[in-house]
Amino acid sequence: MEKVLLAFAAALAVGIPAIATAWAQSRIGAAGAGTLAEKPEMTGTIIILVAIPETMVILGFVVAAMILVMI
Amino acid sequence: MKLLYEIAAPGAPSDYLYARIRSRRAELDVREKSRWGRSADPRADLRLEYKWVYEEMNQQLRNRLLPVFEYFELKTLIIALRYMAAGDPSSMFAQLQLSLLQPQIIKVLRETKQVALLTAALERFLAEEYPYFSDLTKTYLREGPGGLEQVLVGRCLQQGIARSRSRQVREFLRYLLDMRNLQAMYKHLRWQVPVTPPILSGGGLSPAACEKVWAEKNLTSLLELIRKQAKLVDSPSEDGVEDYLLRGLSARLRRGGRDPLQLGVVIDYLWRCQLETRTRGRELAGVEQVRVEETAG
Repeated sequence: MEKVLLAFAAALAVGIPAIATAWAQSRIGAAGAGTLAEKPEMTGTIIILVAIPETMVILGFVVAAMILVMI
Repeated sequence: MKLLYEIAAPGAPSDYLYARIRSRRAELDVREKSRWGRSADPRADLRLEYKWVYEEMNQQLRNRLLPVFEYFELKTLIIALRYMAAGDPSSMFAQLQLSLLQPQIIKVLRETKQVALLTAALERFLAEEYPYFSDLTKTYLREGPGGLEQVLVGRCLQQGIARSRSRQVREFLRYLLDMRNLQAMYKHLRWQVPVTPPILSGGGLSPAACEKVWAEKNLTSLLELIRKQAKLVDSPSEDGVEDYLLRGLSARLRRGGRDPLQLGVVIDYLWRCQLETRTRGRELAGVEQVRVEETAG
């Protein structure tokens, strides 16, 4: 039973940040595409801005991995 | 039939369009870099920009902003009517280029030679969707082009306020309606016209409050009401009431347009384009030679 709960916790730890990242990137991506259409010189900045929410899911993955190591 | 042409394409995501508009809005603040400094016809620039925004919007955003575009495009219709009444079809055709009006309406405008026939055709096309078009010909015959314009714009604003589900759109149209009421009262008081000015209901100011100020016949009270409406720090001068009210509206829209992911961004941009056109029109023509379209609406 404990293993099931730990597996479930790991799934949540990576799943919830993944959804949040997807939502944030969809909005930042759309806004970034709009900015690039008007100001192509902003490419570098936009790539960084789109990548920032990725940290959420990476941290979630690390937490999930730590939980799974405990199993 | 709708006043503006419909677009079947799904359009861009709102966030994409807001970002593009924010970028273009920022350009307006730096006049040297602005796209507005390039053409000799600021009205054509404005129509081009409005067409771009209208076509880029997705269906949901377009539905929310429809009353604003209808109000702006009604001006195109009125300017076309003015040119037709003045017997200047070439200027009228120029107005219709890049217009957002339905192609059938543009066809009628191009083919009809008399204003009364045109108003009858517009009634036929539009009265079902826009009840204020239902007695257009009677209004024209009774009150002439100036009266027709007053009635059309006032009722368009009232219908827009009643139908709109967006708070920002309603507030924008309400302010415009209040502005018309205040300006009408101001002109009647300033020039001592004995007739009561037409006060339209539906705005932020109640007709009772306007009638109370009108009953006092006191210009100072009216200027105080104008100051409260515009919510500006300085007071209006007797010669600059219109500009004062426009500044008040610009300040409100600027505040509403600060949220980068809200509809206010689009309304603020559309309004700034209007103001830029007005400024550039004055610069190009000289203040004394204000063109017929700048006095519309």
